[in-house]
Amino acid sequence: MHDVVKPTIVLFVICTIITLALAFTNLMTKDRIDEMIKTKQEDDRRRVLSLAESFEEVAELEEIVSGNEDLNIVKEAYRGIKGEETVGNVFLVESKGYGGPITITVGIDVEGKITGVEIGDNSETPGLGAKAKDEPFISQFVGIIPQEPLKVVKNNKTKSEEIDAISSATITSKAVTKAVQAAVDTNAELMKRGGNS
Amino acid sequence: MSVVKDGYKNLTKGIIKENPVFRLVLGTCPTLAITTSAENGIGMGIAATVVLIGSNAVISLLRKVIPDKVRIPAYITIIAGFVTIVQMLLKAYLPAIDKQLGIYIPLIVVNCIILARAEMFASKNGVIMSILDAIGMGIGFTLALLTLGTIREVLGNGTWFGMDITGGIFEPVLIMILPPGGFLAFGFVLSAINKFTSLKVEHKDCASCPMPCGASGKGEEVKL
Amino acid sequence: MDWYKLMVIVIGALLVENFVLSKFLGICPFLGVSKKLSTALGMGGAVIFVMTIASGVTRLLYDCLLVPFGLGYLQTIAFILVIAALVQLVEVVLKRFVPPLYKALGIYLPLITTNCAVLGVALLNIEEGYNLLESVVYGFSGGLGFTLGLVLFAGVRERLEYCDIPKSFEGLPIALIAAALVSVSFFGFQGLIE
Repeated sequence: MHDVVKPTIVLFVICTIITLALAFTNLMTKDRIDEMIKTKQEDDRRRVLSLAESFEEVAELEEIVSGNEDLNIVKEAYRGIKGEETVGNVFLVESKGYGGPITITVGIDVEGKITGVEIGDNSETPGLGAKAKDEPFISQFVGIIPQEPLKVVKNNKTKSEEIDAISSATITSKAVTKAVQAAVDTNAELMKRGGNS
Repeated sequence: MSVVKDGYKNLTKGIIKENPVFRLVLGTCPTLAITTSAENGIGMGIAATVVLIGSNAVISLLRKVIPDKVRIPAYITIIAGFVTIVQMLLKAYLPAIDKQLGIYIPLIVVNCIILARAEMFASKNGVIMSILDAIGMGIGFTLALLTLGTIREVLGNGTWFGMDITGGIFEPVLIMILPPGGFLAFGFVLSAINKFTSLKVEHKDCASCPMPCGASGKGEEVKL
Repeated sequence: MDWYKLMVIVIGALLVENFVLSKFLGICPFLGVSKKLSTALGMGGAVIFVMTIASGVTRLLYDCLLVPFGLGYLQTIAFILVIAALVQLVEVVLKRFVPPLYKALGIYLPLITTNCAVLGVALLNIEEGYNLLESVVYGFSGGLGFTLGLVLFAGVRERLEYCDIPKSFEGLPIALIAAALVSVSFFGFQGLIE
């Protein structure tokens, strides 16, 4: 009997202590983690839509994207405001890359022009997919008013809606492009609903 | 005097003589997976070292309390605890590294090196020696990851810690930072060790691993 | 049911992002038990079995216990303990009820607790946000992918026995280089999924 009880108790005590230690660490770090994510996202919003002075969350995003396969990767939407006026929208999109999800922040102004794209922390391969963060890939999106769906091409870009893929990182390139496209479509839908008022 | 000598020996043996990666071929999963850049190698190495120090210390302290029968589950619990703590700290203070290493951080739990040190060293030695052993093994692991990370990043991307150091004298060999490059770099480094040093790679089909891992037939069954 | 998505998951886990050859999960047994084709098959079978069950169980555990109680941070520790217990359970059940299967897979089962492919698949299911069915399918096809890599590699390795190899490359180094070539060949599948 003794050699069943003792091991069980010891194991149970160890589990309890470890769990308590984890709960404590969680308590200590949780706020900081949330805080870091929040500040980072705020910075990203400001960077992609520098015109705006403040942001407010768009409540009707849920009804636009839910049930739509292509759009439901858009997780959050914010209206950028300067003074009394809306100057554009910012979208937080989560797209699946090569090494896992990538968070992408896209800014679009009232004319439908893409004002900025920011790639969040990701698990893409350094030197390959992780290059999505850098020029010249990311700047291809900025400044265009897409008239037709964005398309990833390899080295023969003929118009602004065509995005040159990062060499050997087609999956990442497509993931980012898909995210930007989802933001553009959501924005168009939002405008149509008069979300601009 | 002999205590100091022993301590020194325990600290340094993991760096070259018993290097966990190059000599014992333990912890191959992270070794291959995250060495796409030197920075990742260092990040992973340090994270694993912190876990190793913590788990070795605690397991050594508890070595007389933990019944033999449940020692493996107990070790796994303790290791998993430290891994989670390291993960939370990384998320809070170095989120970019945490994202970059992804699931390989929680996978430190099943890194053979840590369990091997618990079983082979910490469960038989005092706290100070166990911590020294952990530091030595951790440095050995980190150096190994740094070596592979450096080789792969320089050849595959022409950079080192993100700095351009080759100045474009050669076109980067992309394959080195892709998965096959991991196997390739590791294979060539091991053969170089065989060729140019008197040390021999001692891969005994995981026989060096105390867990019933691989077909060594040596491991005993885990009893819960 | 979304057949297309399931299909993508299967092809992804099997070929495009093969567990061993591109995600580097389960390298220990990949190098350890790939010397003979028969052991490779046995190990593969055991891994498929455990990964499928573990995927389902850990997914349920996460959705039904950890999330409702706000204990997401206990994920790693809970998963590894569940996997360890599960492996034991599977072993006992097989031994009692399906002796032939136990005979074939039995000696490989205890080796699986620390196989990072199993913990890996449990963590990936959560990260990718798969539902219960998708998790189980991902676990199964991930195990299948592991077996495929292992068996192909064992085939290559059996041939290596007869080759003339420079002294310093004998054993593990040449095995790793062979693994690199097998891994390169899997790169051909990269374009399969858009």
